[in-house]
Amino acid sequence: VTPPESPQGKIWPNGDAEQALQTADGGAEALAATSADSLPQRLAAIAGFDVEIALCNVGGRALTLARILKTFIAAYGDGEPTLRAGMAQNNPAQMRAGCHSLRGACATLGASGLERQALALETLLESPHDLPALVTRARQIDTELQVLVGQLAAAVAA
Amino acid sequence: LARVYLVDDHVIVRDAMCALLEAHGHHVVGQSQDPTVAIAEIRELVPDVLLVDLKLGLRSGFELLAELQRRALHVKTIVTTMSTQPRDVVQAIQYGAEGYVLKGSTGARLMDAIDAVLKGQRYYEGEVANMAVQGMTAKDDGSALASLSARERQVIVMVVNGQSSAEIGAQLHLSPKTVDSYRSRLMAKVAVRDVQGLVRFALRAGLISAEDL
Repeated sequence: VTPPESPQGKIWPNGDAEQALQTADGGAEALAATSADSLPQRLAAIAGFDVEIALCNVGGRALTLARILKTFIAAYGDGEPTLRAGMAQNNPAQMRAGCHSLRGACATLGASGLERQALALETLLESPHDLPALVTRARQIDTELQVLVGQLAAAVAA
Repeated sequence: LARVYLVDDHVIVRDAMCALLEAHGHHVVGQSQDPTVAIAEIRELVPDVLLVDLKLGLRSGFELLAELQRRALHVKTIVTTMSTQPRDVVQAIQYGAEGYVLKGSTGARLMDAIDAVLKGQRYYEGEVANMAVQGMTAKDDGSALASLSARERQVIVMVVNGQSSAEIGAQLHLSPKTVDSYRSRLMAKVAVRDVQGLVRFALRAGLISAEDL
């Protein structure tokens, strides 16, 4: 499918990310808003973050991606709430629901590394034989989510 | 190009999907995270295509699909979900969904699914087709499960989680008497006489896992 031009700007579904950032969603305004490094370049430097997938999933619009990343940062600045509640109460069903929800957001935004980890834990939580070990693993995911949020915030703010 | 309605409890997902769909020329006529709101808006807006997630917080996309069937509201429906459970694919088919797309798939796959359902075709591609076969050939309480409405399944889960009729009623905006009526009807359908039997059925049918108890 070849996407058409939209009023917001041209679309790059397969990703000339640099061009997308400079021209999509408002051209000169986008250029003015960026530093020497472009947002896609900064995102590409984040381990476990697939900027091609991220751009593809928002129709190639870099500024739309930046807006949605800000929503992600605001939503997960204090961790995934259901996952944290599940960890606090040693509740595997709640932790599993938290992993599932986090996975959906990560899949949408190209946070492939965290998505894989959340999937692995969600699967293990179906039969939680060693709950303390799974809570520890959930804490690791929570920590990595915090790291990712920090990296994304820095990339978007730069 | 389609007029699309989105149902997902994740604002991030809805926002991204809107951008993706509109980049491909589709028009997003509405969106919601709530099945009840969605039903009302689908009736009003008459979209060509409905994209619906299965997990909607405490509610379920199946609830919405069942309600669409009950009210004979005709909209081409594609389930968009993270669920790789074979039984979910089978239930989506049973509830009349024309397509099933995993959220980790590429945007191109979603566009293909929309094109297919607009042409009157079904879209259960790749991994999803295998999941459907697995689900259809699995030996479980499938027929009893299939006889239950989405709301009845929801009530089962709440009952086995120890919620009273009053608590369930408050959560689902039903009177306790209506919840009691649901309980009696669904217990008859799955041929159990008490809550213990209901718990065993829910476990076997995969409505809950042992850890939920």
